[in-house]
Amino acid sequence: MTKSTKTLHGAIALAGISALALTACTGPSGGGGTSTGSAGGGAITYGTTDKVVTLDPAGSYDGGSFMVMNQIYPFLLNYAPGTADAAPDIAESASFTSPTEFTVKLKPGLKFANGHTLDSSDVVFSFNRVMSINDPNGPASLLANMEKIEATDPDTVVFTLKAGNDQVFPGVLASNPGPIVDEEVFPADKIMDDDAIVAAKPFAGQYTIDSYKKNELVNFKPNPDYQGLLGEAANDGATLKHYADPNNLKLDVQQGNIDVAGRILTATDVADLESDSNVKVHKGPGGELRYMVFNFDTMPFGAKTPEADPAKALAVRQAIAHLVDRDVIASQVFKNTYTPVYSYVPKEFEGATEPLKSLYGDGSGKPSLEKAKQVLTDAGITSVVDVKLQYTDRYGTSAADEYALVKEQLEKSGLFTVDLKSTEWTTYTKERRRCLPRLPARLVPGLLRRRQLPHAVLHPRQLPGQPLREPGRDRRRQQAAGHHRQGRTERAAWPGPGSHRQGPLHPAPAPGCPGDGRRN
Amino acid sequence: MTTLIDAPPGDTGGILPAARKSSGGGLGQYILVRFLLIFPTIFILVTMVFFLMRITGDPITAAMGGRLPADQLQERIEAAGYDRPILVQYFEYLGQLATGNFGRTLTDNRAVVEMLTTYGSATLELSLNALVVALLVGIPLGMLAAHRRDKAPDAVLRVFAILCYATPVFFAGMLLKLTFSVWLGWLPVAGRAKTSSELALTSLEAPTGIYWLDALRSGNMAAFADVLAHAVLPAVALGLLTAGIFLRLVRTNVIGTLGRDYIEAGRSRGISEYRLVTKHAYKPALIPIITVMGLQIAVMLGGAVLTEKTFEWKGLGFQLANYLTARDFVAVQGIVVLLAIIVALTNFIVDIIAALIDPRVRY
Repeated sequence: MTKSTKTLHGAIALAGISALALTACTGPSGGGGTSTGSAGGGAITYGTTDKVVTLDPAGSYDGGSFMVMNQIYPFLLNYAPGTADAAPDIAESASFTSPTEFTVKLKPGLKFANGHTLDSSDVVFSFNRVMSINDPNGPASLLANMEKIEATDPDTVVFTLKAGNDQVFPGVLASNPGPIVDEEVFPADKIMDDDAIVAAKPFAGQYTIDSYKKNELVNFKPNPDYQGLLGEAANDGATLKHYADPNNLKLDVQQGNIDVAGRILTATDVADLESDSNVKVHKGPGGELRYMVFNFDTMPFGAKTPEADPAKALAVRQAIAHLVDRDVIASQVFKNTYTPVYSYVPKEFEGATEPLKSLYGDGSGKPSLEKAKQVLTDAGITSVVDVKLQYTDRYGTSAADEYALVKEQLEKSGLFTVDLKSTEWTTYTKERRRCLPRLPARLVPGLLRRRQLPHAVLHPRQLPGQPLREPGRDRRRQQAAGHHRQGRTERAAWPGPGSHRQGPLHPAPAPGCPGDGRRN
Repeated sequence: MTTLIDAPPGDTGGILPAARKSSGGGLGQYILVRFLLIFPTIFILVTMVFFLMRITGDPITAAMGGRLPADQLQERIEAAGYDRPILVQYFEYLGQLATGNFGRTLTDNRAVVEMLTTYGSATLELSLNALVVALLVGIPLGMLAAHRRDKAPDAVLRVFAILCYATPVFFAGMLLKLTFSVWLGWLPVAGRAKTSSELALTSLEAPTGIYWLDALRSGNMAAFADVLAHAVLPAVALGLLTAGIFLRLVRTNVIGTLGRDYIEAGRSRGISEYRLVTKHAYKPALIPIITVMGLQIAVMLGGAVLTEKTFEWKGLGFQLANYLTARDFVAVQGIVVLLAIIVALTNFIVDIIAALIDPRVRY
């Protein structure tokens, strides 16, 4: 199929977690794809800038790795297409049998693609292995509430929890530590090499890996033995192609070399692609938030500054909150792929409200210079306040434009001068770790929210030609947020010595604190 | 180890007699000396790489310093032996290198040797392609510039040569991509092959990793054409860097050769100027090209980092950039050491070829 004859040439995910949901609108690959299709729906080629850290579930806690794992490993619980609740995948049943016991019964006759039997022993091995290896890149922190796991018979396992009534736990089982691995293949005490994993075929998910070149090309074939929640694959396979440069990703989907592009395209690219008749761009609401955070010690009038004054420090934060024009940032920098948000919880979530909208700015979401001046004057601040604003481009190249605009907005008020700096990600995380042993409070909570497609709205399996799934990652983020992590956020901070006050929604940061590379 | 001949061929300038006196040996001794010099060269390079990498601290802290609590970090540092005296680590590292053990990458837990072999072939392919472009562009245009000395074509070509080697390779790459991929749509944007071709080539038994070679071996001409199409822009971007140097070198040497007595003799016998240039003058002028080629391999490998990154050409340069970003110094160390070895070996080979062609270099 050539570019000119393709009606829906490709679907573009907005740099998002639900990228795979957007593959639905594509048909079999064209020139560059793996057009080896047959009656099953053909094969599809998906391009991404995500990277795989490792295929070993004990050694990764990142989107790129998990997306591949989701195709090849079975889970006790998973997300059915179009739903937001974790449901039994290879489990026959899974429920709390007491406040601190979660019992899972496996379906009978399960096996891995290499012929090995999949039973409760493998399940126990998988979770214990994640905990015992406790890799710094791994998801062991998600199992913090798991005291132990036991196999009561070949088909049944019982999780004993430290704290009872953990309603997040089913979601944890469907998330990063959840893949069930073959105990006859994986070593119990160390991470296994990707190529060795592929060679041993310890797969029991919807797909198996046919060929694998790490962070280059992964070819998936449907697994005929999969008995899980997601059912039989609706196609003949899929190819995952990794890109380093979003520009190449964008150009390749435009030229028909891949069918679907996702994670991560810039807002400018998305806007450009929207004008391309050969490409279909899907948008939807999402749960990603971008924040600015403050170091309470080193910020103006902070606790460890010579002019320490908590009331003045509060006034500075409030004044900035009054001045930031979220609408302008969303439209100018993010081309409306983000929307202003006035809450810690995106409004799409049930029960979410926008308490901050009336609290800051003019009360309707626009900035208010008068209120900013007033709050500073009331606190006794009469001179221009110098602030140091620091960002990292880890979360997209738009960060530079975003914070340049914040600087402009603050300085335009005449109330602030801003020293804007960027920091390379690794240095940023080191400084953050060094400087922020506890999480900082937020001043401008929920600055912007990414518009994204939730899985519940469009799940790939609801649409033809869809080979891959990335179930519930968005939901997991939200469900897990109060438990272990904050989703993908952008923050500005003042690295410096000292501790910081903790934000209202944040738990202890390490490991699993917001902004930690593993989480993103 | 590379001997660069700047003087026009035939102009010994009084050096040769002295060289002949001091040589005291033939080609065999020359090769032996050059071969033995490889080892201290590599040793020095390896030592430099090792200690430079340690300037910023141990590799574990560099790669994971921001993501681990201090106690766990220390645990890993101790487990890896990075808490020991630097000299102990250094000698252990030398011992490992001697046995071909480059360790495992910190960020993706791969054997460095496996990573080097996987991606080395891609870089080799790109370098070979670029070298072909450099030779095809640099030599003929250099001869043309010499032939049309101080005329308009010469002036244009000299400017072109300067542009070639003065333009950053990533910028040239982006311009080429913009022109031939985005605007004209003639050539692929990035990558080494289409997905279907890559799948076909990687499924071969014992692939070399050099795609065009694998495509030829398998008789898959569609894949071969596809691979060549993907190779054009990266090869041109990287090749032009060296082509500019070749062009100027050939021009200078051909001009020098054209003034020699034997050319004058040929001219007086009525041999055409075209024939004089293409048959009689260019051969001696090519000797410096061979010697410079050795140096250019190092330039090309450096340029390959940027070229591979620009064109998503997943070779050693591409990986080097990624590992540097991730501060995976074990991987970086492995790649840099391999590149150093390649450069040292290439220079050795070039020296041998130069000595075979021109006995005067065996001084």
